[in-house]
Amino acid sequence: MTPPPPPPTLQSLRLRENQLFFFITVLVGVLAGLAAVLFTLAIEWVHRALFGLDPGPARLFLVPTVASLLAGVLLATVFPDVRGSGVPQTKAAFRLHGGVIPFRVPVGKFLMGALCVGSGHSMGREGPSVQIGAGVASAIGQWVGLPAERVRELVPVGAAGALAAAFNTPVSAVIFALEEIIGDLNAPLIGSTVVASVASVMVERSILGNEPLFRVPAYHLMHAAELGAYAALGIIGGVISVVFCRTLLRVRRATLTLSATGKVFLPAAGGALVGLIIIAVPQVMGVGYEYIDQALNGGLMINTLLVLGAVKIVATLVSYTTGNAGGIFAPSLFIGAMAGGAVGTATHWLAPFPTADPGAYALVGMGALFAGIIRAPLTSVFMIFEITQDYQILVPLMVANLMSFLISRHYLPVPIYHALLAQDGIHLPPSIPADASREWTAGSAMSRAFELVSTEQLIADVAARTAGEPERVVFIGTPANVTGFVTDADLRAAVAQGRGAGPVRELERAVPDAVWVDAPPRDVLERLAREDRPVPVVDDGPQGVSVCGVIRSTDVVRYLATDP
Amino acid sequence: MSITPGRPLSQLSRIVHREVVLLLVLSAFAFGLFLFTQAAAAANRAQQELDARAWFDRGRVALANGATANAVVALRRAAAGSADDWSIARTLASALVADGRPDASRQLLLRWRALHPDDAEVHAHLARVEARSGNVNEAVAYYESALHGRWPDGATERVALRREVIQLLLGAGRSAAALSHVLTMAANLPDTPGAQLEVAGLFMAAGDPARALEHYQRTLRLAPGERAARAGAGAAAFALHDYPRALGYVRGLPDTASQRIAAVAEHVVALDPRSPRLPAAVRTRRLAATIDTAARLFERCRASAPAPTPLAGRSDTALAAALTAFATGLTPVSLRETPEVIDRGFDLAARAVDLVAARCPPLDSRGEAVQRLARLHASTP
Repeated sequence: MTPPPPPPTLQSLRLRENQLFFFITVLVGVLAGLAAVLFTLAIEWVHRALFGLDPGPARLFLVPTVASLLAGVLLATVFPDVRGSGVPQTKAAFRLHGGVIPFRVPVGKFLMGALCVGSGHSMGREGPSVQIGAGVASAIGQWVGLPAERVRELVPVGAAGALAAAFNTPVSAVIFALEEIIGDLNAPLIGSTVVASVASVMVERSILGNEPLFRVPAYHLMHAAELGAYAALGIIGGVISVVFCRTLLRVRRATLTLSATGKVFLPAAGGALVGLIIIAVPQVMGVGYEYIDQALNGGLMINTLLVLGAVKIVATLVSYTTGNAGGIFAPSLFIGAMAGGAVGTATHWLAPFPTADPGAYALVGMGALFAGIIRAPLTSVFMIFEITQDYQILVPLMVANLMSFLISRHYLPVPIYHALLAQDGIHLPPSIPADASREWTAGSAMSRAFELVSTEQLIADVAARTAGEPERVVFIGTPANVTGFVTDADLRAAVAQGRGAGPVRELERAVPDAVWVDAPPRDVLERLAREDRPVPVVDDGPQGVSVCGVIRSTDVVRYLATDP
Repeated sequence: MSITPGRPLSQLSRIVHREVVLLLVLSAFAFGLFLFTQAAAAANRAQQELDARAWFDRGRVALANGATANAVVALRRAAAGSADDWSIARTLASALVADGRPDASRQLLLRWRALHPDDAEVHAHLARVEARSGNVNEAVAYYESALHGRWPDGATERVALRREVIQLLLGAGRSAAALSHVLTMAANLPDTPGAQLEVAGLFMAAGDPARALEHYQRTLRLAPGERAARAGAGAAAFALHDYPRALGYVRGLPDTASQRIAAVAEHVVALDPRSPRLPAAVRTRRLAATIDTAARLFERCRASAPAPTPLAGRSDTALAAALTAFATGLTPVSLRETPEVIDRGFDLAARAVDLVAARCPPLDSRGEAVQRLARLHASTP
């Protein structure tokens, strides 16, 4: 007879939990990538099914109108959480709701996003992809039964995976998750986001091939003075960003005052307006990457660039503020490419020095608008770099991004995603840097003033040992199994009542669950908020798990008050 | 106390083991979804190809009908749907050029070149775009790359390209550069009348009438009745100042150029005082006829187009007087005693016919004959 396997130790289980989390991270990356690819395919399928090869004016008007009418009803009744981009909602889910995203959200975002973007609305697929990826990740975490903190951690992981597949840019997807969703580039989740991003991109490339989003020729800085032109492009990009964001927020604020019925039909009104716009300028419908590609390759003349950029702004404002589902990533890239192309062409004409092709300016313009509108400058730089894989463009790109970012931040102190959430009554807390959250642990704040006594020790003896130390906590049990605690006041009262000869278990109170000695502040504070009792602090040493301290609210306050 | 912070050991163990099962379920689901997505992507790709083909057909029709703007729109949509299709990209590049957008065409082709740096056809198209934009140096560089690149049917394509680059260089007045390409072309041509005739024409255009004459003669050996070769050979001999031979080739040919060559050559042969084995009297007569022709042309020109300035007028009068004096003093004796008289006579004739050619063009065949003789025999060319 073989002996039964030894019971798992806590250490092995913790290790296994980490390993499982790693595998779940990979799976989240794969599924988020697949979801993003399917979302892209769904948009194309809907677009082709609704518009056909060469739609006439009637179809161009009716398709967005009718599709938005359907979307309006569904958004009001079945999927109320999936309007707009999805990035602000993902940030809120991560920072406020413990990463919990109901499964209907990614499902609804997929369906509504495909319907709205596929029916010609001037919106992007990346924001919705982020929310779908985050929603899938959250759903998996909840389904598997991961701890709340782990579920929360999966949200940026899923977002990074989806964005990596949507843009085919794994590095910038990681940076976006850190910069925008988590709000901390030093977040400890960087490993998980990288894993998910890589897994997602591998899946995406195995299905769609390793095709870059845009095919761009190699660009060069032709003359040092060109940096001035790129800085001017950054300034123009910043101004456009501010105008775009302010207008979007103002119009959206106005639409929020509509009645419930009005909100049901608002997307349809937006659809009708967009229908009218795309009859005149069909190039602005949908994601619009085809025309970005043309701008990047110098295929558009300056008047076309200006018209497309201006009309895209209007069309995006209409689509977004009327509550349709879709993002502003792609529109910001579109507007930036057109503005950049126009500036590049003008520079080419006017500059007394040799200049790069207008396509180079279109590329930098994309980054500048992205930095100005989305306010994620590092993501922007890395994204353009990943698209071009060209070092030469980095310096002009950084110059333009910086100018655009600074102007946008000066005139629009609240980033657009935060402002959109604020309009919905959601106020995000400032992101906590990883260093701050790691500043102290249960071990650093705990007190070692405790006694561990057996259940049979006499009350009088215990009272004598703790005499003059009312702060000292008395735990009852063994180092590996603390069953309760007794207060100093109980001990004194019992002695005064003449019960000093009785066993201390007569005064035993239930002890709350322990915290690990390396538990972060969040865990400690959550426990203390729940339990108004001394919380044992345990360590996993060579002799196994044993109690090593006690922590109370006063210990934390004292530690924070004295720690420099 | 629960020994596991937050949850009991048994609970954690149960969760961890449950996660393993769920992980397997999720993996199976992910694999199934992967296969589904792959199939969906393949179907989407196939549909995109169909759409691209439909746009391509529309674009070609529009281009053929001269609707270049519509062609560009349609072909761009085709290219967006089928980015790796060279036939679409090539047609789009042509449509862009036809639509007056060579820069966009160039960008498109440069992108293709970045993806397929060894593709000779891309270089050839780039060369054509540059040629149409007037960038001869860039065009020639691309032509060179195309000529050294890979071609499915190398010889035919290279000959066609060589022809293009020669025409480009000739059009740009760079005969020397063109001549080197013609020499390369001639070395690789088949020995057929058509090929020999073509290369002879190219040699002629590149300013090498001697080699042109060789190839014309080779053509005539291969196809004796080839009139174009006779005309070309006559022109080549004419350019080489071999007027009797030129006359022999072009005599009786119906085309205007050959008839003109014949007429001029006949006059040259008839007027040349330095033709071999002529008696002094005949030489004198020919020289006198040449001077007389020059003087008459000059006088007629002076009457119809007077000198633009008084100084030029005095010069004209002096030249007319010199011509008259020369004609008066010309005798067989003087010619025999001082052979340099011929040079002096042709100096005067050259001045006269050059003035006529500049002031009263065009010269008639006799005038041109005098001019050619003057250039041939004058002491101050």
